[in-house]
Amino acid sequence: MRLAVASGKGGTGKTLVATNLAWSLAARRAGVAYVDADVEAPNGHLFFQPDFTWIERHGVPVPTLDGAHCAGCGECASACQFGAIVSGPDAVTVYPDLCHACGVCLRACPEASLREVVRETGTLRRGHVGRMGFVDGTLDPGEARSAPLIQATVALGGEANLAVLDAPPGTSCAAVAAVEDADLVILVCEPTPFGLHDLELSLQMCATLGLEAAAVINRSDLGDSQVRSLLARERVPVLAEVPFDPEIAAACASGMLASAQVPGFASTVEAVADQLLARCGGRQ
Amino acid sequence: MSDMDKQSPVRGCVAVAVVEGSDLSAAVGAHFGRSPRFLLVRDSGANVQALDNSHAEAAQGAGTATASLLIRNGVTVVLAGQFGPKAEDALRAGGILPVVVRPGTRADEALAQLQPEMLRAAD
Ligand code: SF4
Ligand code: SF4
Repeated sequence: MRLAVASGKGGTGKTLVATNLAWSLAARRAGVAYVDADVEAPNGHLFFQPDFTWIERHGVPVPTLDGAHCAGCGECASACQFGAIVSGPDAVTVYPDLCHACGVCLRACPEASLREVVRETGTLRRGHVGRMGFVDGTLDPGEARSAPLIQATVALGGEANLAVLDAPPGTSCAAVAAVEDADLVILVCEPTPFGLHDLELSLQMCATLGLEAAAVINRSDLGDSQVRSLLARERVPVLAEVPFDPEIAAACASGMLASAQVPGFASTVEAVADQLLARCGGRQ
Repeated sequence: MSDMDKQSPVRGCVAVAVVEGSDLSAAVGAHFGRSPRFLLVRDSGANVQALDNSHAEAAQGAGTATASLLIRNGVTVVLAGQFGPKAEDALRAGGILPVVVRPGTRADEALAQLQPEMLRAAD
């Protein structure tokens, strides 16, 4: 069972919900893992300070000539669907951020000059916090292609019975890579005009991918009612409303789980955890 | 594979990004990688062929794929309103000189302005 916690943009309280929810679920059930797939800015570890048992560099294969003879025939470039390899008179240029590692160019080269080398793009870590599993992926600074690392992070986290995925914000390829296999996407949103727009995009993404969505409305006492009307219209259940509370903000700012500090918030999270366990009871 | 897909034996071919049209009265297009068509101009304008760019709509890699298309067609100079950084890099790697021209300029006028550069790059 995979629960993805997502949001239309950063700063909506996505990590707040994901970390506290994972912790609360782990208190109720064994085999729960928090999985930070927000690889461009993973910060779940700040709240948990996990004990890491496994750390590995992650890479993607890219084609390279590596000194081999190139006839400049352009077969590799013609074969590539992604414009990721361009041939010059006697060499090729590879654009790693466009390359999808499909290997087609290697087979297309009549000189068999191309081979794959692994280009490292980030780091994967696995560990635990008490009995809760912890997984995160961290993209190298300046690296453009995040999807392969996100998929690897999600796959590693998917080994848990119940994985709570902290997905990258937005609706880009990165967000899609994190949520596409989720059993439920929990959209953390804010009841403001900007929040409404982001929520519309997120709901569209879920609909396109055929994913079930639910919502948590954060800072629910600010703004207006449009987000609630949209959710009602789209029949998206609201799991919880979290009113603005400076104590929650203070706990987050100091790297503490707000549910351990703010009793009101703790009971909100527990109620969400109970709802989710009731939902997934039959299909684990 | 059509004739247009093969490497041209003729040296010195200028490609002009255009939105539509198949002669030199066409207007130069705004963006290289998104250009749906190029006019391939050989023999100082005596020979003009239209080359459609199937990569114009690609979500990613349109610029580099379009560069490859021109490399395959033996282009030596290309005119467009603007070039993305990867496209420009790919063109230069393939021995093609990218030349920025104000979008909307008639192709023949743009070509006339660019004689010296054309000649240098075409040899
Ligand atoms: S591996 Fe695939 S995507 Fe990458 S350059 Fe080769 S053909 Fe293109
Ligand atoms: S297919 Fe092989 S020989 Fe031809 S341009 Fe590509 S790398 Fe060079």
